[in-house]
Amino acid sequence: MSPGSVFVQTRTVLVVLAGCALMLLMPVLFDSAWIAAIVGVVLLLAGWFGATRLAASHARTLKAVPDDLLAVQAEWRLAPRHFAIEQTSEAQTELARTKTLIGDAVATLVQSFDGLAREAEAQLYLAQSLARGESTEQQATVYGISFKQFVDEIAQTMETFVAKTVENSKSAILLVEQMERIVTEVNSVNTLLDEIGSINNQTNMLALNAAIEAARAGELGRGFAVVADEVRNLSGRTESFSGQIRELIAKVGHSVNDAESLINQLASQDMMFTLQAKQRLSETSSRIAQLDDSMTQSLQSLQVGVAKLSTEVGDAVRCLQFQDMTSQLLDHIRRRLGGIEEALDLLGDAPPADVQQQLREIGERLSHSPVLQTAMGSGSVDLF
Amino acid sequence: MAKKILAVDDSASIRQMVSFTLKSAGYELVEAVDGQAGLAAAQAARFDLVLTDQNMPGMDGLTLIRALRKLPTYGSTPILMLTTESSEQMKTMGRAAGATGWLVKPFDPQKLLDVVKRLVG
Repeated sequence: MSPGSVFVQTRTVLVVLAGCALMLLMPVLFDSAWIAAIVGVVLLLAGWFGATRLAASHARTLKAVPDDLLAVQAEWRLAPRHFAIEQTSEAQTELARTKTLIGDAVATLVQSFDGLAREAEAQLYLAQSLARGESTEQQATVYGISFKQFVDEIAQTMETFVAKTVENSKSAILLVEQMERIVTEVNSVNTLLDEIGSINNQTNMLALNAAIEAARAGELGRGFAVVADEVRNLSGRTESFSGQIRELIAKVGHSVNDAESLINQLASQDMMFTLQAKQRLSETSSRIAQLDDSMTQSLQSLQVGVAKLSTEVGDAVRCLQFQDMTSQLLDHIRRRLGGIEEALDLLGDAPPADVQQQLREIGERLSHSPVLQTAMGSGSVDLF
Repeated sequence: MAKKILAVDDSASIRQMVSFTLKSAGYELVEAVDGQAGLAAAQAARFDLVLTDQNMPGMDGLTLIRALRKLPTYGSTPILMLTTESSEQMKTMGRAAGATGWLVKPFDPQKLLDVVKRLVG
């Protein structure tokens, strides 16, 4: 019941009650029935007027209350709609923020994976370059030679050195043999000098005998005695020369022996050093070969690792596309929320038939979802 | 000389991924953020292949393909659609618009590379 109708009923009851009370009192107060009736009517009109004024005053007071009540009632009826629109709007803002956050994170991740893949490829290239001993353009410019070339050249130089040293050692041995032959020949000269000494002694004896016989012959043997003296002189000089030659030969012999000893020492030292160097070179080459094998194996492992990394990066790149897919879905959800807002705006403002039509239009507009995938497996490829 | 490819997508991360995949293989990449920008880039320079998304603000991929096919220089240029759209209806529309192929996201980098190599070498 409205406040207005309550007021009307109250006024009617008050007037009727006042009229009935006065009508009952009239016969008691007045002797004449006419006078009593007139006074009763006057009082009844006065009561009605007073009651009307009083009721009007009350009505003015009461009128403000129902209007406020209507406004509150209308507000309560619209509150859920306002609330839904406000929350939908907030949800749209949050969806946009989510999309921005995911987009920013994925962009950084993609950049990071890109950097990782490039770094891995660069390291593989460097490792391959080192393993093959190939000099990069920069290395060639700076050093002019690669490690493998350096080792190869050292090995080649050592081989040449060893060959030359072996050849020198052989020559030294030949030289020693030659020296031994010289010593033998020098000894032969000494034998000959001994023979000369023996001849010289016999000559001296003959000269002495000749001098004795010349003395016996007297004056006739004087000339023969002179000859004998000369022969003795010659014999003495021969012995003196033989002695000098023997001394010289002895010196030559010593010198040859010293030279032979030195050559022997030199030859043995060269051979020893050369053989040791050759052994060391062989060991070094063996170690280099082992190192080479090890590097080859490491390189193969590295290649396998980089290939695996490449696959992993490919998978990561594929899965990171969730950002684009979720972004499109978030946009579609935002559009759906916009549709809900539109639908809420239709509440109570349009005839039901129009509402149905507009809801159909909104539904059709939102029916196409841009993403139907439910997993991150690789998408299909169709060439027309 | 490196082949030139135009990648049109409103998603920065997808452009990054396409760029990363194709640049690593030696292709030259130019990026555009939507159909309108893609059309402008295609008119400003000659590309050997165009790769475009479908759902973009402003001009979508199908509209871009139709516009490109009207240009004399893009009559036979390979144009690939790279999109989340996977329905047969959309693919039919793409074929009718003049697309050379339809790749559904998420794309596998190696598969994308294989297709591009097959089309432009």
